[in-house]
Amino acid sequence: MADYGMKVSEEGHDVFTAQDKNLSLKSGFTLLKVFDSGILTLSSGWNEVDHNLGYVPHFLVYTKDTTPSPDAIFLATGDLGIAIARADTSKLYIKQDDASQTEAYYYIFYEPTDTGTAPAVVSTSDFGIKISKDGFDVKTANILQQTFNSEKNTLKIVTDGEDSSTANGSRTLTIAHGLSVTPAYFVFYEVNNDGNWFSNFTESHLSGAIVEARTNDTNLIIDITTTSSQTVKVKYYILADPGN
Amino acid sequence: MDYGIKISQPGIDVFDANPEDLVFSSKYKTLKVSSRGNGTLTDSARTATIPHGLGYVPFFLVHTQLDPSVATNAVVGDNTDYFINPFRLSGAIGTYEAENTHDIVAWADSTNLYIIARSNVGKDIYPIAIAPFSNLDEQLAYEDDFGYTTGDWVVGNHSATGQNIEDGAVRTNGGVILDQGQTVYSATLNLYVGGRVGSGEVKMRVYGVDEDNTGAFNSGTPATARAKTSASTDHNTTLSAGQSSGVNVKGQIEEIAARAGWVSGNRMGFIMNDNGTVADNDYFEPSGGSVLSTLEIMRSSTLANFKYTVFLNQLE
Repeated sequence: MADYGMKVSEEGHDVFTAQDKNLSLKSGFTLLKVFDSGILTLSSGWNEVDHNLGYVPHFLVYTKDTTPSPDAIFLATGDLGIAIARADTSKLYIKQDDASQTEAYYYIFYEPTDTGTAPAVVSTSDFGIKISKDGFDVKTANILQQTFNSEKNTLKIVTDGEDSSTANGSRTLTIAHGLSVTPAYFVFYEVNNDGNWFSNFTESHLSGAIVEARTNDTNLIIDITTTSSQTVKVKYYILADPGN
Repeated sequence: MDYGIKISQPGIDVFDANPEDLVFSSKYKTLKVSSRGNGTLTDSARTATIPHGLGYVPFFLVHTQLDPSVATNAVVGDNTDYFINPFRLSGAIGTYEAENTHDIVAWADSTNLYIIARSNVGKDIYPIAIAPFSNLDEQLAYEDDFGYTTGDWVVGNHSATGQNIEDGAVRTNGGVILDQGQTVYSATLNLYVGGRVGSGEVKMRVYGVDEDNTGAFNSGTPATARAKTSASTDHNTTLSAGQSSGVNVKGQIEEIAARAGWVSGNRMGFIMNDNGTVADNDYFEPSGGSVLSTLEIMRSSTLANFKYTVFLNQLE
């Protein structure tokens, strides 16, 4: 980056020396900026949300299920045994597989899953902060050429942590989130300290371990099922942004 | 924290805003994209290894598409759409219930992002015969100098017992799911060697049975005398008992499926002619053993298209 721009470091890191991974904001970053979000009451089968971006955008869907008590939300993936969502160039699709899946909180981001042409974005306010990426005039940069635009929400990680218990066998982690909303979350895990971290938010298909996560209005709950000889390390992220 | 930056969403007073009402706060971490890209997993390249260059294990998101050979249906939706990884196909999908595993799994270490397909979607495995072996006479046959026999298959040259040249035939235990005229990515006839004479090379030429629906071998025209496809495969191996010999029969099954009278669900057969094996070398699969031969058809090479995003955020 040039000798101008903006940097904001994470707490505990000197902004002058912090590595990129320890910055919250830098005027070269690509942050996921929310194009649309909201709650959708689910009907049986596939439910649709139009986005018409012309490319497959990043998206997140958290499906509320009333079967656990209290109600819990699950990150929707392609794991057809749990909560399911998919996207194409014009719509987001969310499936109600069971009547206990009553609603879903969805996020559609401007950022494409790989490449795409930025849609025309009309500013709705004449105040706020915009930060463009290197080489783009902030006054004319489109939404994908912007690192930050105070009109567009970004995901905020309020808590991240790790459970590195070396105990073998199954266990349940219950992490109080302390938020006034049921939050969105991410969970990653590693088996037997082998250095490989799986993106699965629900279940492993290579290691044999099963990691299922959900949040409710109080906790992030991670159920870990293993064979007796496996150790499972978990990394979790709790967002300020609601999952319901 | 009494310093930093907070930006609230429109209409929310930044001084009173809850965390979820903020667009940004220097108190909270953000997800920062490091790299994005896309690729395709195929039958011959089932693992994608993508260097991320970060030197630590990063946060990542992977989106995968369904195998294009799985038709759009109510269970999976449109097969051109993208799901967040993991993708796990479970339950009955269309007509592909027998081979319904389609797992796309992603993980990262401090060097690479890996995306792997453990997919049998698009791959059909048809047993040649299954237990109990009451129907072996219908599925297996051979002919040697002593005449025509059903219930076993043998191929090679067993001159020590006066049988000399042996030609075998096998038939799928059930119907083959292929549309009329359909082409495939690959087709392999896996001939399980239940027994073995000699240790030298067994030379065979493998044909399809050129019939719309290959009938049982214990009635009608003897199997080894039936019409053969023009497509054939010369296959020479030195396998031992207990191993399987994979014969490329792509041309044979496409020729059979191209027949005007072919209907999906009909049975296919194959004839293995000895092709110059020297004496006292043959393969056989006796009816008293385990019949493990199969026909394996891969309808498409493409298993999944994927898109990936690696973030600067450090997992480990």
